[in-house]
Amino acid sequence: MIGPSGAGKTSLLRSVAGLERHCTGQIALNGVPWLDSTRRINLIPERRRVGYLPQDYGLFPHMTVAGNIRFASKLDRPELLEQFGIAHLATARPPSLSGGERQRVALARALARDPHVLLLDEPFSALDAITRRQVRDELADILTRLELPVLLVTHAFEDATALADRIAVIDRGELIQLDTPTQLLAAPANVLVAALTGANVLEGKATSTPTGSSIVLHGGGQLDSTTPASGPVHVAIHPWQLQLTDPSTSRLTDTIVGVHQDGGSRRIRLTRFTIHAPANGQVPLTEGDLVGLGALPEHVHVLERPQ
Amino acid sequence: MNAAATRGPSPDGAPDWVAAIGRAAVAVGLVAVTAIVLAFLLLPIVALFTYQPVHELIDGFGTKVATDAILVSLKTNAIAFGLMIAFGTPFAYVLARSRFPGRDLVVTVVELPLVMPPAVAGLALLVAFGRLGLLGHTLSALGIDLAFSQAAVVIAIVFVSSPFYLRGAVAAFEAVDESLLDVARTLGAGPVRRMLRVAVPLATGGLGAAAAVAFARGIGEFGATILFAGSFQGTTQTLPLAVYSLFDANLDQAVAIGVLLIIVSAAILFVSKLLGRSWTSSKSTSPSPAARSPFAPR
Repeated sequence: MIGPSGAGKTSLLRSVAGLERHCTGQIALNGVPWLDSTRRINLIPERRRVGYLPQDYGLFPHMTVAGNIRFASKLDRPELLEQFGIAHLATARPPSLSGGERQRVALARALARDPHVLLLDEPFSALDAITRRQVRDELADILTRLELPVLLVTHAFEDATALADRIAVIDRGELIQLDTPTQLLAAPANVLVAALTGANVLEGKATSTPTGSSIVLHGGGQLDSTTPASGPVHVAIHPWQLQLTDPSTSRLTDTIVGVHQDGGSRRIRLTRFTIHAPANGQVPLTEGDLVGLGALPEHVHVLERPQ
Repeated sequence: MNAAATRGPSPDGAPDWVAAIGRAAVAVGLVAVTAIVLAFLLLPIVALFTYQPVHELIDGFGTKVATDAILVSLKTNAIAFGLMIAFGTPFAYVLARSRFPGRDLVVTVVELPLVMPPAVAGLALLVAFGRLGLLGHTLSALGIDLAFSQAAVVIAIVFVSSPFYLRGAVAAFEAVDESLLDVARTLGAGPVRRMLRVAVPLATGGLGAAAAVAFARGIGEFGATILFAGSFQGTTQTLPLAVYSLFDANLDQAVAIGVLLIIVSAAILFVSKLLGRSWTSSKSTSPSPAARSPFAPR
């Protein structure tokens, strides 16, 4: 689940865990109802068998690693400690652990309860950038091995694509789109989805053409799309689908504000767009240069703009 | 004052040395005020300790009145303390974790004995539990007569001291990271296990500090006890009551008991400060929500 702050992602996760009182609706797992307000069913969290990891993992700081796991299963679970590579930490206390170790301990503890679903709330929010990537890759490995349904909340699309088969975009308590990462990129349902996936979003006015539509952007410039549309619209284009062209022949031009080296590619900031270009591009790019822009019509997403 | 102002005449035209004398006067004044405050607080204590030769002071600890009072104080305070912890801890936990209409009212009721004059508290207990009081008939029908008994001392101590514990315990429980208790629930822990295994261990420092303050208040309890329980040597005469009753008869002995009380109170204060410090330095790993007073309006 991704969405802006305050969209209700955490509330939804907590509702599944049974931690939010006063829920209405239906929640069921494998046909077993956990919540059904019409039938007055509302299982308490103790009886729902969820593996819930809050934002900072919620390890009990006053118990050892082994103690944390025993809290969940009332047994020592050496095989879990072994499986998560934390056997050597059994007597350590959570405050002395690294971010990655904490995550492993928290997952081991959640699994010690034999949950039917894993609920992960922003598992990387407390981590620095380097640890974050490590921990995410580690989590991806663990999750594929587990074969458990997992509901994961994040605000970063990058994390969602790295971990999820399907992504739900949520805004102000409503489900906007539920799709595979590829589909979300290929066909964002609205401006918010497009923005969350990292697209450039601009306003414009569309006119119908035989092959779709042609959009005149506010602030000048023109783009073609395969989507039929007319009237005021939003246009969304992902940074990696914009190409630099010769400004003298291009129907869309913009000025470079900054160029950032980002691994194997260059992130080029323009006044109205961000684009990704290969690092070994022939054209030397400097601030203040006027460049032409182009995109394949199928990569230009046209979204309705409510007036 | 900046460097430029100390050189050359100050803006109002007064020469340097005037300003220097002014600063010196302020410094001397501050030292004097500090000395006066410390002397004022310390002098009575010094006076108590030096009122009689040390051997007489120690003899005073051993008199019958003193040993009786020590035993009564120890017994009643131990029982009161046990009751306070046993009932107060779950109560504070529930109060800290729940939000309900009228919560502020409950909090006010809990706090009331803190601001109630002790004599009024004793009077209130008397008209509630005394023979002619609200529950008097019921109690005497059951063959129980509380007033002027050792049980009355315990009741007076609990009534007057436990608000100090409750207030601190609610704050300590509120400071426990709520998400840890949520996680405990999802791991299958019921309310009792959540409280005993998660909340209490994480709040130990705060609970201990609050209990120490309450205990000190209980040891020193005077007004409510003398009205509700009377002052009978060997049954209801606690240390503070002994001080009062010896005041006319034997000032030396009264002073000796006073010294004893001061030593006990100072020790408790010291322990509570230690507990309070270990509490703030060993909080949970996650940034806890800013400490807020449990009794602040929300």
